[in-house]
Amino acid sequence: MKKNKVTFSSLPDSNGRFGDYGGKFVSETLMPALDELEKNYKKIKNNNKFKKDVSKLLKDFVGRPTPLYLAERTTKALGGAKIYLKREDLAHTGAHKINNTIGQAILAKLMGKKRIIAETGAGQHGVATATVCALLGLDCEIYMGATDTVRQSVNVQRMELLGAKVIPVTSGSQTLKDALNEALRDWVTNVRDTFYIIGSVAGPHPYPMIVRDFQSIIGKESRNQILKLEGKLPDLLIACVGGGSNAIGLFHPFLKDESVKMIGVEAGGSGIKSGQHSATIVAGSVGVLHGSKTYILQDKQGQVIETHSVSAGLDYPGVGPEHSYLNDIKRVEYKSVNDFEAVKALQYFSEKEGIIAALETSHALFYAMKVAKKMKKNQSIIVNLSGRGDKDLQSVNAFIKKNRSN
Amino acid sequence: MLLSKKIGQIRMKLVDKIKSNNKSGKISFVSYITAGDPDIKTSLNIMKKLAENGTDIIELGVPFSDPISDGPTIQKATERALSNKVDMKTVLDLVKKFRKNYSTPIVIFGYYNPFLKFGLNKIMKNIKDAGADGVLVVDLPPEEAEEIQEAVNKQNLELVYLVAPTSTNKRIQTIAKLSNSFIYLVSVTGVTGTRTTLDSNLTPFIKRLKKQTKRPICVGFGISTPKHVLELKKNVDGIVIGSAIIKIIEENLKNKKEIIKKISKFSKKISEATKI
Repeated sequence: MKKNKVTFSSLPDSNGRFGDYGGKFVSETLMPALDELEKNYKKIKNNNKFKKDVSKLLKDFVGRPTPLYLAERTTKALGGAKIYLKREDLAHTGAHKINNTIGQAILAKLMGKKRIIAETGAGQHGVATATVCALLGLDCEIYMGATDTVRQSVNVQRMELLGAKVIPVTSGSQTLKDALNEALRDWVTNVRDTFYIIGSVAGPHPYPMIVRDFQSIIGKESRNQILKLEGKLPDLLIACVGGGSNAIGLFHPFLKDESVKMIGVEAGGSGIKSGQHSATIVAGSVGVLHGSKTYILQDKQGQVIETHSVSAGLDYPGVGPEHSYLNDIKRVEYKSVNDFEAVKALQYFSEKEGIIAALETSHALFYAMKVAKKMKKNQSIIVNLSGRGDKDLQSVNAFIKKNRSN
Repeated sequence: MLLSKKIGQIRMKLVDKIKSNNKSGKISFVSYITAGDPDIKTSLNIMKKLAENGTDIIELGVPFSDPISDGPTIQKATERALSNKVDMKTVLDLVKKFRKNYSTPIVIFGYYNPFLKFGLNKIMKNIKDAGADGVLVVDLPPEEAEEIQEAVNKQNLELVYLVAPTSTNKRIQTIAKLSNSFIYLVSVTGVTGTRTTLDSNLTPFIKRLKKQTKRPICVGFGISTPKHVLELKKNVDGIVIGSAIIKIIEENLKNKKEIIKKISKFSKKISEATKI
C-alpha cells in the first residue's frame, strides 16, 4: 500500500487540476463563462430532478444499460483471458458520445442557453449533439475539419438530417484540432447565449470533469455487470484514447480497485518513428493546448504539429489532462497501435464476431487480442467497444486498396 | 523615435510612456504586428516605420499554430510567419535589431505554449536582454499566471492582463491588483479583427472598468479607423490596432515597398487622431 493514497474522486482540485495537469488556459472573455458553467454544474449535478431526467433519457432514448458481451469465438481462438466487450456501439447514434451530450444539453437548457455548438472529428460527437438538440429543440451548429467531412461523409449527412448546420473548417490540418479552434472562436464571440458541448475530456476546466462524470456510466455499468457475470473484478481494462472520453468513462469507476490494470491505446498512425501518428502520451511532451495543460504533440518551438491517424476520432494532438495525470502516477499504461493493426482488428471482429467496430475502437481491439493470449484463462479483460464502424467503410476500403497497391 | 535624432530621449516603461503621452495631450497608439510577416526583413522595416510615424508602443506577436483568440486576418499572418520559420529567437532578434536605434517600447504578445516550451524564466530573461518591455499572453488568465508573473517580476518587465466585457467586477479588481502595467480592454466578446462600428456597450463598459481601477486603459480588438479613435479618446488612455495594419500587409504581399508606404501613412493618420 502506498502511503499517500490518491482519492481519485476528489480530482480535479478547486483549480481544475489533476496534479499539474488541466486548468483554464483561455482568454479572459471565456473565464466568466467557465465559472458560470462550473457553478451551475455543481448545483445541478446532484439535483434529483436532473438526475432523473438524464437517467430516463439514457434508458428510454439511448437504450442503456448497454450489454457487456463475451466475445466467445475470439476468446477461444486466442486461448487466453476472456474478452468482454462493453457494447457502447449499441447506444443510440452508435457510440458512447451520446452519454455526455444528453447530460450537457439538459444542463444547457437549464442554464437558459438556446444555441448549441460542438466540434467533431469522426462525426460521432457531432451526430450525438445534433440528435440531442433535435430531441430538446435547441439550435445546433457543428464545426468539423474539412478533411473529416470527406472521410466521414455519412455522419455529415446524418447531422444535417437531424437539423444541425455543419460548418467545414478549412484552417490548419482541417481535422479535429482545427474544428476545436473554430468552435472556441465561435464560443468567445457568442458566449452569452451559446453553450459549447465539448465531446471529449479535453478543453479547459470544468469540461474534463463534466465529460468524465457523464461518461462514467460506462464503467459503473461494466463494474456491476462483470461482478454478476464473473463474480470478481476484471484483470484488465482496455480502451482507445484520442481525447480520451470513452477511456475515462470505463476507467474512472475502477481507479480505486488496485488489482484492475488499465491500458489506454493511442493511434500509432503510420508508426511512431514515422512521425505520422497521434500518440500524444506515448510520444508527446507537456504543453498547453485548447485551454488545458497536458501532453501534446509539439515541435521544439512549442508549435503544435499535425497528426495522422486512419481514424478521424483519434486524429488529435492533445489528450485529456486526467489521462496525463494517470500516466504520470502510473495508474494507467498508454500504448499505441498503428493504422494497419487497427484495420486488421476491424476486419477480424467483423468476420469472427459479427461486429463492425469503429476504426477508433479497433485500436483497442487489436491491443486486447495481443495481450489476451498472454493471459490466463481464468482472467478477464473488458474492452470498451466505444462505437460502431458503419461510418468508416469508405476509409477502410480506401486504406485496404492503397496498401494492396503499395 | 530615433534615439540618435532625439536628444534626451530615454526608454520608458509602458505605463510611464502612456502617462507621459497623456500629459502631452494625446492618448497612446499601440500597433500590433505579427513578427516575421510578410517576412523577417520587412517586419523590421515595418517596426521602424511605425516608430517613425507616431506609434507609441509596438506589440510584437509571436506566431502560434493554434491562435484561438484571433480572427482570419491575424490567423493568416500567423501562417505566413510560421512558414518563414519564425520562432521565439527570431522574434527576439527583431527586437534587438530594432533596439539599436529606436526607443519605442515593445510588448511581446503571444499564446502560452511557446513561452512554456522555452522555459518561463529563460524566456523572460531573453526578452529583457533583447530590449522588450512587457509581455502579454492572451490565453493566460490571472488564475494561471502565477508562474509567469514571477518570472516577469524577476526581470522587472511588465505583464499586461486582458479585461473583457464579460469580466465581472470582482475579476476586474483581481486583475487590477495583479497588474503592474496598463490594462488591455477587449472591446468586444469575440476574436481579433476589424469591425466597422464600435460595440454600443463599449462606453458603459469602459466606465465600469474605470470605477474598479486607476491603471491606464488601452482598448483593442476591432479598433481600426481614425473615427474609432476619435470616439474613444475621451474615455481611454490608449488604443490598440492590429488587424487593420495586417490587412495592409495581406493586400500588398507582392509589393513590399507599398506595404511600408501604406503602413507609414496609416500610422501617421491614426497618430493624428490620438491628439486630444
